[in-house]
Amino acid sequence: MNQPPKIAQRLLRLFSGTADLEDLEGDLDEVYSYNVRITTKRKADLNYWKHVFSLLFSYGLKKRKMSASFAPHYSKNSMTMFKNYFKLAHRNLRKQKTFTAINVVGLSIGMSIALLAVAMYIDLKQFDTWHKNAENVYRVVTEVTYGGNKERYSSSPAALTYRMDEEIPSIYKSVHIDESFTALIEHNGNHLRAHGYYSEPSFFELFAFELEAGNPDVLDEPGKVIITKELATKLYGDKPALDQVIETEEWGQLEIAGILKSFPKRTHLSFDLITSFSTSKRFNAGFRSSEWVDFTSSYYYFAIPQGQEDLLIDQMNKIGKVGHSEFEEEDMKVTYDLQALLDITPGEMINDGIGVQFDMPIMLVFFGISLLILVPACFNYTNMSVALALKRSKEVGIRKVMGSHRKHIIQQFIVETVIICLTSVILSGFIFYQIRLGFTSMLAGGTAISFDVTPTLILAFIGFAILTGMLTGIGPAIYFAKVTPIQALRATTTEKISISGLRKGLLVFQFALTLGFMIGIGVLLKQYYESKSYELPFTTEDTFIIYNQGTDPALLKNQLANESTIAAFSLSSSIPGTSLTGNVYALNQDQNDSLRFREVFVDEGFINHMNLQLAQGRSLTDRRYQVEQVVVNQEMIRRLKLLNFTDTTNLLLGNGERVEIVGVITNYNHEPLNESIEPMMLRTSMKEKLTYSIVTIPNGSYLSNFHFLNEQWDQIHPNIPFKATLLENEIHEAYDYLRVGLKIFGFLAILAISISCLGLLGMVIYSTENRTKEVAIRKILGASKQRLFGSLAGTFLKLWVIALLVAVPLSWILYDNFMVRLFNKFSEGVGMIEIFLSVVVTLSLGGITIFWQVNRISNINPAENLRHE
Amino acid sequence: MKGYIGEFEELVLLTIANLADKAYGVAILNDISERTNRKLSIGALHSTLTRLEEKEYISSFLGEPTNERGGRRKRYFELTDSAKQELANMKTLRDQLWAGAKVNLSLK
Repeated sequence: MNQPPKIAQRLLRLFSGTADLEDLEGDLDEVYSYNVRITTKRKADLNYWKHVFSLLFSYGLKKRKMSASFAPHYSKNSMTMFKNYFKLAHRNLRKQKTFTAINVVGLSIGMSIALLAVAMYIDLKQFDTWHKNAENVYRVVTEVTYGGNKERYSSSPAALTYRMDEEIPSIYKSVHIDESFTALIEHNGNHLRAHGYYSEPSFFELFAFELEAGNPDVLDEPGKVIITKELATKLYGDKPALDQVIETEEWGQLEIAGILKSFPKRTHLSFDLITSFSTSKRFNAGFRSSEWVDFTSSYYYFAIPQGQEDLLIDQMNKIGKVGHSEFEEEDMKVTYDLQALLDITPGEMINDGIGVQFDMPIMLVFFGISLLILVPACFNYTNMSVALALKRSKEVGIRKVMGSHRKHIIQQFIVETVIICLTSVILSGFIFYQIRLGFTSMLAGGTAISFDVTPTLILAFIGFAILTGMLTGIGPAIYFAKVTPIQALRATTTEKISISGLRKGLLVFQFALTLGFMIGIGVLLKQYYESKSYELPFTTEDTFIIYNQGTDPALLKNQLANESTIAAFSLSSSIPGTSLTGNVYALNQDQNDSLRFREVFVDEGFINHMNLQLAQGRSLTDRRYQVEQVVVNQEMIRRLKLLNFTDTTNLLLGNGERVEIVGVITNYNHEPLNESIEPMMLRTSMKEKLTYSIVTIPNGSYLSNFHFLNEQWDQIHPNIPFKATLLENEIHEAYDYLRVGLKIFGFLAILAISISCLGLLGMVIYSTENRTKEVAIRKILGASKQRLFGSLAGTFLKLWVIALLVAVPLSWILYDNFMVRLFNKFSEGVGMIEIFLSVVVTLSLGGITIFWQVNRISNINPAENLRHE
Repeated sequence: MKGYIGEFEELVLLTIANLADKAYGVAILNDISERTNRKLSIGALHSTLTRLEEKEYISSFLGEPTNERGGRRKRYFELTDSAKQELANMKTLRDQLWAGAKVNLSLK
C-alpha cells in the first residue's frame, strides 16, 4: 500500500511537539489515499506536502500547540507561581545549609571585585553630567600624524581656537583653558605646590562651577586668582580667604579674588586655582594668532546647538589649514575633531588629558579581571548544584509527573540561584564598602571617584546580582530540566556517585587558576626582594640627598667644604637609582638618523663620588670649553655605532647644541630595575638643573648627621626648610610600583584561593557524605585508615596532579616572559624555589580542606552511620 | 450578536449543517471543494474550524477509529445553538435585503 512521504510526517510531528495531531493526521491520510487512487503517487505526495505546509503555518495547529503546552491548571497569573518557586527555593536552601553557606560565601567573594567594577563604571558614567547643557559641550581634539603614527590629543592649538571663536557663528559659548599654571605658595614658612588653569570668565558660563565669593570677571584681570574651597581651607582654615594675598615663588603676589563653592568630584577637570590669561606674559596677541605647534597645554571647550557637529568639523578643519605649513616644518600632519564632554570619561585612550583620565580600554581590562574572579565562583555553584542532582532529581521527577513543564523546572532553578545571588550581594556589598577606599587610594586620580552609595548604585548591584544569578542558574536548570521522570524515580542511592567529567574539568580549571595566582605571588615577592637587595654598582651607603629647592648649590658646597666629616659632595639633576624623565636626541650628520637618549646633569665630582668606572677616556672637569665636554655610557657608544653614526665623538643634539664625548663609563643602573639600561649622557653645562646635592658622611649615626646637615643648611638658608633623605630610602621608594603590584596581586590571589578552596570543600563534603555508609562497612570489614583515606581522597589527588601539570608550565612561561620583564629587567627569571614554595602552600591549603572532611568521615563510629536507616 | 462571521465561516457552518452527523475534516473539505470549485488546504480549513470553535459556533468530538485512516479517529463537528441563531440572523438580513431591492436582481 502507498504510504505518504515519511519526511513530511516527521516534520509535522517535530513541529507540533506535544500537540494532539490524531484527527489532523487522519484527515491527511484520507485525502492522500483518495489522491493515490485517482492520480499518480508523485502528485499525491506533492499534494500531501502542500497540506502539511498549510498546516504548519495554520492557526489551527498553533492553537493546539498552545493548549498542549500548558497544563490545565496553569493560570496566567504568574505571581502565584513565583511565590511557589520562592517558597520551594527557600525550603531547598534551608535543607542544605552547608552548601548554601559555601555558595553564598563563594559568590559574595566572587562578586565583590565585580561590584567594584560596576560601581566604578557607574561613577565614571556620571562624570561631568552635572554641567548645564552638558550634552551640547564639546572640546577640540587634535589628530597628529607623525612618522606614520596617528595620535589624538585632547589639546588644540590656540591659533585655531581663537579663530574659531571669531569665524564660526554656531559656537554660542566657549572657553579657552591652559593647564600649565602652577604656583609654589608660601604658607606659614612652608611651601605648597598648587596646580591650576589659566582661563577666562566664560569658564563659569560653560561649566557649572559656582562662586561662593567674588565674581567671574576677575579672570580678566592680571594677578588675581580664584581658588577652590579645599585650597582656601588648607591655607586659611575657617577664616575668610577672599582678598587675601598669597606669596608665590613664580608670580610674586597674587590676590585671591574668588572662592569656588565645593563641587562634585565627578569631573574630568582637576585644579586648585584658576587665574587670568593676563597673569602670564606668554599669552600675548601673537600667541593667540600664531601658536600652532606647541599646543599641548592649551584646551578649548565650547557649546553648539545640537545637530551642528558635522558642519562645525568642516569649518574647523578649513580654518586649521592656515597652520598646516607650520606643522609640516616639523614633519607633522594635523586634522581636528570633536569630543563631546560626556564622552570624555570613560572615553577613548587620548594623549594629554587635562586632568585624570579613565579610559575605556583600562575599564575593560578591569572588567576582565573581575570576571576571572567571578567565573570560578559561578563554576562552584554549578558544580555543587549538579553534584546534588541525586537528591534533587527525584523532586524534579515527581514534579514532572504532576505536570510540570521543562520551562517550569528551569524557572524554579533560576529563581533559586537568583535568591542565592541576592543574598550574596548583601555580603558582597559589605566587602565592597570595606575595600573601596583602599582601591581608590591605589588608583592614580582615584580621589575623583567617590563611590557614593546612591539608589542608582544599589539598584545596579541588585540588577547585577539578578543577572549573575540567571547566568549561573541556567546551567543547573537545563541539566535538571532534561531529567526524565522515569530515570529520576528509578534511580536509587546505590547508583554511581562518581564526579562527572565536566565537574572534574571545572575542578582542574579552578585549581590551576589558584596555582597560577599563587605562583604569581611567589614570583612577585621574589622580584621585590631581589630588586631591593640588588647590588647597585654605585655608592649608596651613608649618603644623603639634599633637595636644593632652587637655591644655589655652590653656597652649600662652600659651607661644607671645610667640614672634615664629609667624605664626598656632588650635585646631580636626578637621584641615582630613580626614574629619569625626558628624552634628548642626537642627530647623525646627514640628519636622517637620530638616537634617543637620557641626559643627567651633574657636577665634575659626580663620577668619582658615585664610584662609576671609566672604561675609556677621562672624567668630567669644571673647566669650560668652547664645545661642551660630556661623558656617556657604553650603551650610548654601542647604539651610536649600531646606527652608523660617522662621528662618535662630536655629536649634534636635537636642540642644536654640540657636545664632545671625552669619556665613556661602564653601564650602570641609573634607573630602577624595571628599566633596561638606556643610552645616557652625563653633562655639566646647566648649573640651574642641579636640583640635588649628594653628600656622603661615612661616620656617625643617621640622626646626628642629619642634624649636622640641617644646621649647616640653616646657616646659609635660614628661611627655607631643610629637606633631605637617605639615598637608600629614595631608591626603595622607587620600587613602590612593585609593592603596589604585590598588594593588588595578593588581594586578587586571596580571593581566587578562597573561592576555589570553598569549591573544593563543597565537592569533598559531597563525595564523602555520599560514602559514609560505604566507609562504615569497610571499617567493619577491617579496612585500615590509610586505605580509607586513599580511596576517599584519591579522586582529588588525581585531579590535582593534572592541574599541576597544566598550571606550572603555563604560569612559568607567562610570568617568565611577561611579568618578570615588566618588573625587573635584570632578574634571572622565575626560579624553581618560588614555584616550589607556592605549589607547596597551595597544596597544603587544599590538603587541609580534604583531610579535615575525610578525617571526619573515617573517624565516625561505623555503628552510628549504619543505624541511620 | 456574538460577533461578525465571515463569508467562508458561514460557508463552513452551512456545510456542517448539510453533512449533519457525517461532518468531519475531509468530508467538509470535499463538500466545499465540489460545490464551490475552490481548492482548499487542510490547514486553512482547520484554522477556520478552530476559530469557529473558539467563538463557540461549533463543538467537536472524536469518533470511532476507522481502518482507512490507519486506525485514527475522526473529529466530528456540530453546530451550537448560537451558530443556528447567527445563521438565522444572517438569512433574515439577506431576505430583507433581497425583498427590498429596487433593482431587478434576477438575470432571466
